[in-house]
Amino acid sequence: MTLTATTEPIADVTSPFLEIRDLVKHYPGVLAVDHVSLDIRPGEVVGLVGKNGAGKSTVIKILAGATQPEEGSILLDGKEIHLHNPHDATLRGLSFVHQELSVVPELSVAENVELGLGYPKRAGVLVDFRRMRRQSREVLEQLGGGIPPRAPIGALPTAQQRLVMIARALVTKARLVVLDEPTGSLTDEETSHLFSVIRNLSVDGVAVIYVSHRLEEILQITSRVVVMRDGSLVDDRPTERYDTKTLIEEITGEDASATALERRHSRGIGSPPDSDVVLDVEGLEVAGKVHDISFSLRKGEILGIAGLVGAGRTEMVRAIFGADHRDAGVIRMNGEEVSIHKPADAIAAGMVLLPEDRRNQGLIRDFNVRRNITLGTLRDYRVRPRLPMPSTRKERDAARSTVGDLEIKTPSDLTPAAWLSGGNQQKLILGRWLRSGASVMIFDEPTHGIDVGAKEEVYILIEQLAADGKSIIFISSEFGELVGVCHRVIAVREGRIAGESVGGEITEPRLLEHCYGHVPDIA
Amino acid sequence: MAWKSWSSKVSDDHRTSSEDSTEFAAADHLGASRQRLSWRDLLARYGLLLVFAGVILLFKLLRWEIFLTKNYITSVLFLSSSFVPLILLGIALTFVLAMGDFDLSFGSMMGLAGGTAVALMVNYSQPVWVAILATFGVAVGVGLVNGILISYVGASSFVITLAGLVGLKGIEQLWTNNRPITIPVTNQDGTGEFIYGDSAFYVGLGRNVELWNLGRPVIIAFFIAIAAWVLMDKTEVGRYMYAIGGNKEAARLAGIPVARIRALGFLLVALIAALVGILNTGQLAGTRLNLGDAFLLDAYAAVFLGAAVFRPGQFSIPGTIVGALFLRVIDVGLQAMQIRNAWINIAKAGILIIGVLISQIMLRRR
Repeated sequence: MTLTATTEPIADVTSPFLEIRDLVKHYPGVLAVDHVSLDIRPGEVVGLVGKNGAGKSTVIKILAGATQPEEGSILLDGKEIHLHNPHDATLRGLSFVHQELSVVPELSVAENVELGLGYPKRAGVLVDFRRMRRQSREVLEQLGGGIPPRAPIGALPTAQQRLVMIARALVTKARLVVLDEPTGSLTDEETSHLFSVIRNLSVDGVAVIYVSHRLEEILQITSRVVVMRDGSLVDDRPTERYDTKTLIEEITGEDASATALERRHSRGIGSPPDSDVVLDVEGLEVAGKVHDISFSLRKGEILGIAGLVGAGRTEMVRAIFGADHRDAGVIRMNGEEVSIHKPADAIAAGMVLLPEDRRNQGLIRDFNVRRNITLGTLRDYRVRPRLPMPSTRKERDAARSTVGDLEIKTPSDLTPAAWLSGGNQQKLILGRWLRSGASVMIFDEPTHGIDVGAKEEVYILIEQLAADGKSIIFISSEFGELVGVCHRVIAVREGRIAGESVGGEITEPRLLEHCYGHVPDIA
Repeated sequence: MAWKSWSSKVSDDHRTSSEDSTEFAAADHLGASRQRLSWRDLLARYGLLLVFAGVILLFKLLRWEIFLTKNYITSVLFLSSSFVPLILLGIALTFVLAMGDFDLSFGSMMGLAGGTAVALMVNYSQPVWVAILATFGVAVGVGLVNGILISYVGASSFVITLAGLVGLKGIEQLWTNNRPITIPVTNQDGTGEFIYGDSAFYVGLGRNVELWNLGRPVIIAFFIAIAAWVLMDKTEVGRYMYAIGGNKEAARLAGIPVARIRALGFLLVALIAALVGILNTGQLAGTRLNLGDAFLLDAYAAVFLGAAVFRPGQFSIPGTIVGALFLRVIDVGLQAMQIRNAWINIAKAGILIIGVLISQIMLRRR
């Protein structure tokens, strides 16, 4: 097969072979997929786009048999099919290349390509390694990566490992190949090889669903674009009717954008205060994740960090907080360099982190409310100043006053923290750190998984903390809430600062542009 | 405070008071709710204690004349050479298990400690204080190596302490030439002339005292048990231990020195095992081959049984103490009924399985 297929992707007009009808899927507190219907025709290349949490991955997971919808059906060649597990999907010719690599590092490239597909056998028992290598070599050559089938896959760079994953999808002779952010770690050359492969697949009548945040790629390779927003499918058009600007508008949604701006104006949120710099980060570097990040934070400022999932925001703040190793970077608090190597150092310097995954990284779930609140400042409740034994009475008083101040809804301060709702657990961890008198508070996705009413409470609380002189770093994947709350927003893309917006400049389209960025032109 | 105004309407709160009554309360060391205990909850919480009481009653009825008479308690139930290693090693193990770690090396550490002290006194003619200090020195070394490799380097506690199980026994064999060593005493009751004058103190450590005719090791174990309970349930370090056991990453992000406290756990295990080794060889007036082996699994049994007693799935010092007593009662009770050792082992295994199953079922109910 040659790599000369440069024709436009073929938008087949034949009838659909795969029909998705009215899928509905809830996750706790969210309607992840809201009556989504979609037809796929042979040879189509369908782009699937939407913000983080718009429901793209859930739809893909349902198609892959990794999760079950509550309502709706999937029809293959007009007949309803039930996908109970990923193997069901593979058997029916639906093939998936997920964003996360799933390779077995100890096995060779060829063994990984054919993993789970039933290796070719000799005499019915012995694996026919020669034939397996030949088959793998054929598909790998289509991808043009020059990857030796015998090499142990763990020794290859990530980009080549991803090509192997794509090769696995090709070798199954699938009818539909779903590529989820396939070009994340590929070079331009590898990406253009991949695009040739996609075009060849299309010519052969194989349909492709291409999920990507890189809108330029979407516009270049797909024949049709489907936009999802808040779990619904909001737009479905041939690609030629889109450009980057209209696509961003569709992804954002005008209504949401207007609501966020309205909130901003009604709460009177403006530019950052002209106060002293409290935190100063210079040249932060985490190998492979965060590159040359520098910024500063003023007293009473709410600094938003925008970015797509995987852009390196969480990695960035974890490195600042000392939760992960950093390879370079100077951190100054109130003008003086602080040495932060573990979270305890950061806390001692007056910085606290409220992690995104509060159930697993914030709470001690078996501990009661009281003990979770006092955990970060246990030394303040000693029976006597020099005796390292916590006083039950002092702990109780402290916990009860925090429960009262934050209006944490709990039967008692002796209730296990695991029994509280998401919003109250968030308040619990906040209460723990309010007791520490920290001056810098980092909120990583504080409204993740809590419902709309509780979200507004979190915004108001953050504003009040800032008004009280705390400096806030607010990470969010929901651009709307950054627009509604922040004095200044830094956008992070692929581990680097991709743009900054101050005061009235903060609008959803601008943040989206910073976060999506522009990919280099692909030949 | 400014955030008083934060609205109290948290609409995603699913918990209603009617649900609360189905949730049973938790033990003190976690300080959970004590409210609304139904009889079913009480049964779930104290069921194993009831079983324990029933077993004691049964043995008493069957062996009225001897079981649990005063003499029987002091000389059989609290027999230093069996009871003290069980309860002290169980307490040591509680520290590491409560933090989610594992230790297999303490049995060998106990043997190594006994071997070191006795070999130094008898084979190398060292005074008793040198022998005891050197033994604790060895224990500090072992505890630090375990702790550093596991909590700082990040090695698996199972593998490192399994290596300790084998390696420490090897070192003991080197130092004792793999032979039992007897501390020479003229009279078996511990009186009379010793060939090495001050080893009388060493042997005397293991002998009985006037008070209630209990062994000194039992008295020492009693005080250590209290100290361990205070450490785990009343101090900051103990709170941090439970937090680490609950969620290592959350504990680290809360600023707790997780690695240091985990290492401390292994240090405590080695030190307690060394003490047990010294007391045991003192009482036996010499070393035995494979001294600690018998106590390795019994200590685990005591701790896991203890975790089923008060709050399902939660290791605690009071639980371990009750677990050790329970195992001991079954042991001596069945012996008093002249049941073969084989059946005693099978009975202990059965009780351990039932105890752990109860705690698993309780955990799942939550």
